[in-house]
Amino acid sequence: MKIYFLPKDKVKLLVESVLDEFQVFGAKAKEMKFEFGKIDTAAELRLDYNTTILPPVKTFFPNDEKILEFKPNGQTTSVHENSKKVLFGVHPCDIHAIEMMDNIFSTPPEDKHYLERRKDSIIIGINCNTPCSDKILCYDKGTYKADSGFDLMFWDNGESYLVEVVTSLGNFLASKFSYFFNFFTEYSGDFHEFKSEYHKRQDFVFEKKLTRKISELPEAMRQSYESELWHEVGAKCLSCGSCNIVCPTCYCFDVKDVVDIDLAGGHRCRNWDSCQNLDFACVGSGENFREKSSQRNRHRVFKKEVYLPQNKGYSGCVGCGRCNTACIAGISLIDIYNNVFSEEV
Amino acid sequence: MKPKLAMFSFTSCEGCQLQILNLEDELLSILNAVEIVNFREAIDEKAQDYDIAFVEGSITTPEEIEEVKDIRSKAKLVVAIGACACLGGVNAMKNFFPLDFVRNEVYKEKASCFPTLPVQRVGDVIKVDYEMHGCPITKKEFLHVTKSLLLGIPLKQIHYSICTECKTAGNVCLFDKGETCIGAITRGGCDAICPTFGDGCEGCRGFVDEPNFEGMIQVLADRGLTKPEIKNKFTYFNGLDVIETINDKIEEFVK
Repeated sequence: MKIYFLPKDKVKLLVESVLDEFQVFGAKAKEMKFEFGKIDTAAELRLDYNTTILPPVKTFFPNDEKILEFKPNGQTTSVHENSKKVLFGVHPCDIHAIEMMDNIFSTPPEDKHYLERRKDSIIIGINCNTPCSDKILCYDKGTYKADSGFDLMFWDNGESYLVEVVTSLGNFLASKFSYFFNFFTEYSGDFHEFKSEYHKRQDFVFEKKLTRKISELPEAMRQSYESELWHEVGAKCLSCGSCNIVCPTCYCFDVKDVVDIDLAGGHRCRNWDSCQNLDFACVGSGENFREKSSQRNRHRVFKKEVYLPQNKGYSGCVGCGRCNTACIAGISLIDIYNNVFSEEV
Repeated sequence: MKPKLAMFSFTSCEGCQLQILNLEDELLSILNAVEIVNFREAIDEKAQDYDIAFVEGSITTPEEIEEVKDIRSKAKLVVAIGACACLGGVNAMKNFFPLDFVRNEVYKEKASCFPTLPVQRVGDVIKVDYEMHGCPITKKEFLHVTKSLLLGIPLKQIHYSICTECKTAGNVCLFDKGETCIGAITRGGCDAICPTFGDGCEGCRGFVDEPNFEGMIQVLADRGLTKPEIKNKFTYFNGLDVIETINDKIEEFVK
């Protein structure tokens, strides 16, 4: 592990240099919010953003992604995109989400489309000095900080950043821009002490939203299966699917074939799907396994907090708060979790 | 022999036909696969023999009932296109007034020459094989439906909402800007074109199956919309769907 010292007024030069060599993705202003997208100029990139409408992980899992081409003679070609990308300025919650999606998409059968896009990408994280909103659960979940899942991590140090280089890809970036690294001077202070002081400052401004520990959630959730709570949530829910689309760990997709106008060849693409849509659990014979909104809402939360912990050993929610923000009906995971805790006997 | 396509227009602005005519880059390719025999916006000829009929407009006169039944008897497949044909659309506002009042208001002293009926969807009068929603329809969906029909691929109605498409487009939600929208319960398929350009969804593609009206009314009331404003949102394009129930629901949920 190497630690560098980067004055903030040099960041723009760093971004410009990286832009010369790589496709850069990061946060940029969109009206009064931020979006995570392709950066064309260094001035566009914002490191002082709160959160982005869509999460960074969608860079590796774009909507309407062409995955296969078919020709009139029956020949098919799997389509992969592989370009070296730098994701510049990813918050810890989103780093956790990318780690989770890496695991999901690399579990056999491997998803080559995601993995190819992900393979050579470099992730530059940036820690959060303050909470991005009151709708987040990252402090309860411990996802307000990340120990892995990034190649470099920026730590705010007032007029400068401390840059933590942890992986070979991170080192690769450093050597690629050796001329650039003249801007860096090795940080001589005790980095562990710096980190611990940084987290202490976070402890003052981040707050826990849940009445009990997150580790108790899966069991409490299991006991809520027949709860009236799901009917209350179902009555409010408009089944619009927003919560799923903005979620950094929702990976469900629908696949469709698009035929060319000559009615011969064409391509297959996949689109983000939502388990809140009425027909999500509808099968070929016409049966719908989750025809009620209450069932679909319960499934969404159970998938995150019961099934994934059970099958994978981790929660499917990183507490980023995007779903809580996107829901115009005011459904919030924070309320749901606390209700589940208060109901449990 | 190439399948014969025919376009028919009833009470509407004919904007959906215009969308088809606007497919400038694809029209020649379409003509490789089909023969278009009836298309008032584009050609003078009128044929009586066709395989697939695209019908736009709502049904509002006794004469139109006979005409649309005639089309059904001749066509192998009938596709209703656009909000007027599929929902009654804006025209359905007529049904909120007494028929005689509407007729006299429009035709004045000639009113007796123009028999009129309450607005009906095409599907209320004849069997429809598929409904292509929107005001107007999208060029993308017209191509998808035409290709699918020609290849014999079963068509599946879109079940996701405008919100799904709007979030996918990465838009700032109109509710975050202090505006309102009924995209949450409106059927998708337009790539959320109105919210993408800053205008709230008015529901021209009809409601999703099993829409949560109560929840949507509550959301709009919480944002300060009055009862008449909420009613207008629901009845702009979807009057026929909610005419019977909307007043009661609004009374129940808006304090």
